Amino acid sequence: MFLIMIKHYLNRVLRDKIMLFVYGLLPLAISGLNYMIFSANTQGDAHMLNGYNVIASSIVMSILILFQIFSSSTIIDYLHADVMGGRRWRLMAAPRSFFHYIFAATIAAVIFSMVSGAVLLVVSYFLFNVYMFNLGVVFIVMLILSFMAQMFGILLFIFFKKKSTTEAIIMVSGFAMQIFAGRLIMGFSLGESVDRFFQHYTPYTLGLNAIFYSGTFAAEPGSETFQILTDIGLVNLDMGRAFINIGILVAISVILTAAVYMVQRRRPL
Amino acid sequence: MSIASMKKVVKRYGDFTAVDHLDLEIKQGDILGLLGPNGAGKTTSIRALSGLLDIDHGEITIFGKKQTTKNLEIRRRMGIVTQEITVFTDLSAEENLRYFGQLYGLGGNELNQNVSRVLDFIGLKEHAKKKPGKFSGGMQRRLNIGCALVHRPEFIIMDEPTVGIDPQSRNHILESVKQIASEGATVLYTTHYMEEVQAICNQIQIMDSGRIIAGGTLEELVGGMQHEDTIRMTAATASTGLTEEIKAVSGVKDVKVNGNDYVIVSTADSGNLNRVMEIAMRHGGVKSITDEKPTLEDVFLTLTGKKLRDEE
Repeated sequence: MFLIMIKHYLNRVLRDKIMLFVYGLLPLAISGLNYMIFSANTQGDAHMLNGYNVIASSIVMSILILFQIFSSSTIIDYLHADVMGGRRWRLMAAPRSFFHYIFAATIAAVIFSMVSGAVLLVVSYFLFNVYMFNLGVVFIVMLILSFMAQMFGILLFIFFKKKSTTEAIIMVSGFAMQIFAGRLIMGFSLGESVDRFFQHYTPYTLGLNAIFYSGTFAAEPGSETFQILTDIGLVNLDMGRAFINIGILVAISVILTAAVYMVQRRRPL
Repeated sequence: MSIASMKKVVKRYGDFTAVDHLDLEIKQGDILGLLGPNGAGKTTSIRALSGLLDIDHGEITIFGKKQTTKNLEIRRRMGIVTQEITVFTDLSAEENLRYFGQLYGLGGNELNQNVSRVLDFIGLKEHAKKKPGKFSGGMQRRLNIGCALVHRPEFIIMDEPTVGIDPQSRNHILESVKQIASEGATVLYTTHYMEEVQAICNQIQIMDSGRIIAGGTLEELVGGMQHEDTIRMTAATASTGLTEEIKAVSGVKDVKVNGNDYVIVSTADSGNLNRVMEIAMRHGGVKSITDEKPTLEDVFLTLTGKKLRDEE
């Protein structure tokens, strides 16, 4: 039955044209646009290494992570449709636990988010010669971030009970993490310690750096390519640090899940 | 045999008591109409009966078992039609029915047969593959009802299922309710439309301020009411003599004259119709005369002091 419920939620999101556009086409469009802008500022083949485009790789992974964070809008859509109106009573009247619906919707949202991320990876691999880093790490990061995003979305929705407010907070927090990490506006700085925090310890940078640590771009030190790699934050293979970042993301997810459980008991959806 | 009962049920929201020591019994095969003005506590009562709300006091029993918010077995045997249309607009009519059937544990051939039967029953077989977003209000309502019937519930609660639909769809729904009951199901029906209750319900309960204030069959409710009789008459010729003679009849409380039209109010069961007609015949004749009996609307108005439906 649980699988039927997951399938039901997937069916709904896959028939939502807006969601398909936002999570299917928009990441590709933004990646492509960014790629064109950055490529215009580089000379020759300096951005190509081992047959991969290092700029495109950085951009695509950044967009991939950002859209996993934004993916909580899927669960918020479900909650808004199923919990806030009359449908709440209709679904609760069925012989299923209320939590079954929430879990099924969460899993469906995670699957949808990961599939859209996979589409971005595959298309950008062929279009922009994007380096895939360690695909296992990429998918684990996507999975954790997407789950974390759903938990964060549910938590916000419990507090605000309003779709627009919750979505606005998620958008602002996602972009803030990207901007303060210096990955949207080059040279943006709030001081060394704040910069350091945002460049390493937000869910966005924890996920992004875990992916970057999982791959290797061995450019010759001092070369133009090496400079590009340094500028865009691509680092050499360090699986230990990749796993530390993943561990921190898991810990944050567990804390968020516990928070959802406790807050829901005190302030039911 | 009692299918459902509520005994001294109380439900409070803070200081507000939505349901106040409510007693209600529904017998197998009944179509029980639950009437009440806005805020009477109908929806809260229905939710409590459905096991969707914890109650503060009292006991609810359905199919001989205690109803609680955790009793999923009772829910499996019940069907709920909500006031709001709760179908999924992204799924086709058939997919909606299938999903609701699956939520109630149906699968395989049983599910296929029930979906097909319900599509036929609600008159949407030809629209099975269409999404309800493209349906008229009446078709959406019918699908909403179908989703509550697909698992063949023994007890169905319908909370204002005909709000805002065309007369054709309303008639279809009312006929469907009668058919469901004739097949052995029990129905609790709330509505703002008095004529619907009169048309389909064999039992009526009137609710106000969280309590049942009157109940019985339509005849019992109307017959048991202390009410004035009203005679409306159009005389062939009006005259002071006619008016004075009618006023002098035993039991007549008030006579209003407007041209040739008379409205004569007497005490209940005074049987003045013949007497008034005799007098009028002596004063030039009668064009028309009717004896107005109290209606369910009158009963409701008298008991609650409110109209069931706001003026439209």
